Amino acid sequence: MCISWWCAGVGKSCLLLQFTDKRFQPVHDLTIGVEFGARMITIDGKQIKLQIWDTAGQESFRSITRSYYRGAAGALLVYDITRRDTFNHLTTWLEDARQHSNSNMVIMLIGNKSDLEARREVKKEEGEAFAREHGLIFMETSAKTAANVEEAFINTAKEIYQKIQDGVFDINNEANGIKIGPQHSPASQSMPSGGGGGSQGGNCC
Amino acid sequence: MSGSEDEAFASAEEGEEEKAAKNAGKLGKSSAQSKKAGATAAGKPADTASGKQKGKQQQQRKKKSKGQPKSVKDEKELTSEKKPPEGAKSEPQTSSSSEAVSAEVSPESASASGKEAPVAVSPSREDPAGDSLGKDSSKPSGKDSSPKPETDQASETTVEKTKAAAKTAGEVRKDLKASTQADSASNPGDQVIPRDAGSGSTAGAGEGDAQAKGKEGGGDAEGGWSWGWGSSILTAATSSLETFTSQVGEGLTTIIDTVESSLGVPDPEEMVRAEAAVEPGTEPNGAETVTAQPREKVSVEEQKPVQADSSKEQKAEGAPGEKGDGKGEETDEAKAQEGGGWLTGWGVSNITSVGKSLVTKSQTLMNTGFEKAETLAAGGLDILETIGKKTYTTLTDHDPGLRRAREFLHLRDEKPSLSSVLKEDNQGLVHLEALEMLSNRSERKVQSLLSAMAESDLEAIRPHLVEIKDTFQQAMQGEDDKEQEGETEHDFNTLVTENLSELHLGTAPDKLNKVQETVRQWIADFYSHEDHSGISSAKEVQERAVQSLADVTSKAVEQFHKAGELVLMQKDDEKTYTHRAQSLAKLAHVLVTEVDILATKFSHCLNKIAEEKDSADEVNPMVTNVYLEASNASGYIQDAFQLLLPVIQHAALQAALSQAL
Repeated sequence: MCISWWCAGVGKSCLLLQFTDKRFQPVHDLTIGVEFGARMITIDGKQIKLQIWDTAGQESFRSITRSYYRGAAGALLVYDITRRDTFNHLTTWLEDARQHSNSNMVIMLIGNKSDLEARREVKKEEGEAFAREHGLIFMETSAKTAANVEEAFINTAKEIYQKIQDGVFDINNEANGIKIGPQHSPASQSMPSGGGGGSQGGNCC
Repeated sequence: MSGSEDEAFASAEEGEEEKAAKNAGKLGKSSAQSKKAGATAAGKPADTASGKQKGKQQQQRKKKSKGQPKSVKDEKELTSEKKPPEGAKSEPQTSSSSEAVSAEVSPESASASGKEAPVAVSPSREDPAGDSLGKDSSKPSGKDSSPKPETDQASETTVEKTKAAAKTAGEVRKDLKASTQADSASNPGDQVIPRDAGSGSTAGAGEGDAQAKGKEGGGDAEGGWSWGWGSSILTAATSSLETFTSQVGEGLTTIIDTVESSLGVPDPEEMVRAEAAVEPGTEPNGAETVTAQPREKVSVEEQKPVQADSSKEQKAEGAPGEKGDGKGEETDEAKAQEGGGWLTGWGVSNITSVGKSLVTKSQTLMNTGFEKAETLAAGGLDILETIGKKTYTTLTDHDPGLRRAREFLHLRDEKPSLSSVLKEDNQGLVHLEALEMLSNRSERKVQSLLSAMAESDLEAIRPHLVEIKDTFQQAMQGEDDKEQEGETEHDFNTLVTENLSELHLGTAPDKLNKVQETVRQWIADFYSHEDHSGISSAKEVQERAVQSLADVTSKAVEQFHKAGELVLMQKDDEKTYTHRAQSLAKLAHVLVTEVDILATKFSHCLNKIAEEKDSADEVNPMVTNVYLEASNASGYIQDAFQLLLPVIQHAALQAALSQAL
């Protein structure tokens, strides 16, 4: 599953809606805690269900949304190219995410609202540099025009898929793609694996 | 989880330990001896060891402390814990002389008096011999100066520790006498001796302790500071087996958490290494302590022989022996620490199993008294095994995700299944999973918060946590009774809205009500049409029924999930958390009732079709299926509700702490 978590108002929910429903909804309710979206995609000829956790960006939800990092195989880290403060928060987020999540988690950095070129405050080069520095994948997207939205999610999924193929992810996940039991922290070998075996129906995220 | 649950759980484990200890007694004296010796030696060496070791120990202590709060259920336990604080205080003082010791002690004292107290208790008894605090303090000081050199330091430190322990023990004794712990009193004395002996003498102490209680043995193993702790556990434990079994489901999460944390914290290998490093020092110490110190007075007659034996053995065996000891110690510790500790001990024991063979030599020398200690250690292993099994079964049986996944796989035939609909068509299962994550995290938080609380605060908050837990449990029991009542109709919308608003979370059950209205509307439409030719088949009704049940379930789970998130975020003290738990329980009841009603109505629809089309044979299994899925739906709803228990407790703790500040 992918958890996406970002600062408030950068367009996470809009991105997700664009990806799952292919529509843009300019006005969105504030996300409470976490919301979900899902979509089937095909990678390498395999049907993969992306289960996406859209976490609240508001600072006050931070302690709660931390609870949800654990099972994530990938994350989309989104900032708003028209608001430098959202870009400046990335470091904090990264630390938090890495601390509370699987160390193998694939993280994609996304500069959203690329359609608002006139109001841009963060240069694309800055995003690229940040991504390079921290080993992230980078992309600029627009939830409004749908530019790069598909690519962002699917590239992340591909990266995760590749890691699964490489055996980087110890897949205790059930074949249905939902990782079972948040208790299955990577560190605890004592946990009996649910017998999920390797028959990963191609489902991840 | 709630403190009470934890307590129950812990107590249950303790009870098991005792049983195991009994069983272990059969196995052999030798093992017990080695374990005891190892326990004492290991505990002391660790103290002396480098800062890393200290850190580890501190962690262990923390764990222990966590365990204690849990175990505090009984009055006896409480008293024992209270007493320990005194001893704990005394310990820190003594320990202060040696840097290492002091460092370790201080964390404990800061974290929770209760933790320290247990340790202190056992020492006090012993120390009569080493009673003079001044002596102890003087010795420790010398140690302090030279804490770093491992071998020298180790020996010194061990001596110091033993001395300190003796001092504290002396103090503790007084305390104990004052208090009415008749049971523990005799045992504590035994425990003291082993500690004094240091590396060598520990085994002797083990005997008496083991007999008296498994707990005491644990205390010894932990080392000077932790001595008293075990006894408190023991007192609490006996009756808890029943509780354990009953609460396995609830405790599962706790176990998991403890396992995780415990596994992560103490690195068995490191511990072994540390012990090995310390060993040289410990042996000398043990000898010294025996000869030089007047502990004999304090210690029982047995102690002397034991100590001598142990010292000899240790010398001969050297490091290997210590490893074995360390293992024993760890197991003891593990017992003391309850679930988490045991697991840790278990891992260590595996590693140190090599050490056992070495220890066997020394075993011969040991007295009968050791047998008891052995029993304890062996019991610990048995218990660990039992726990492992239980953990596995609980994991597999009680993990909603796994269970559902299995159901999903099994039910995946032509019949429409609730779980498949939940999985494929809406976000019900994801909300349940997220709720589970939230719940697990809250549970960990509750434990860490409790472990960091002062005894007095703990006392103040405990009733609230227990009250909340009781509310959840009663809701479960009540649900069984109510099912028989067979409510046929209720005002869903009003009830849900009412109970949600009682939560004071600012959420409106819009989605829930909308879904429910849609379902009801479909049923109403069905009834209103005399002619059902528009509906092609009973199968369509069945699918509709399952879909509807899934929709309601999904929204119900989501509602609980959101409630959990919001209750953690809000600082609204207008409603007590018990009150909120009650509102949630009522909400769960309304939802389950609704599911029952819907199932009944859909069954009526199916039966109507069966009458019209004279296809009872075809429809009957469908009716059964609808009822089956309704019960599954109720299960999901109940699970979601129960997952909120740690969350509510977490919120209640948060509120209490913020008020205190």
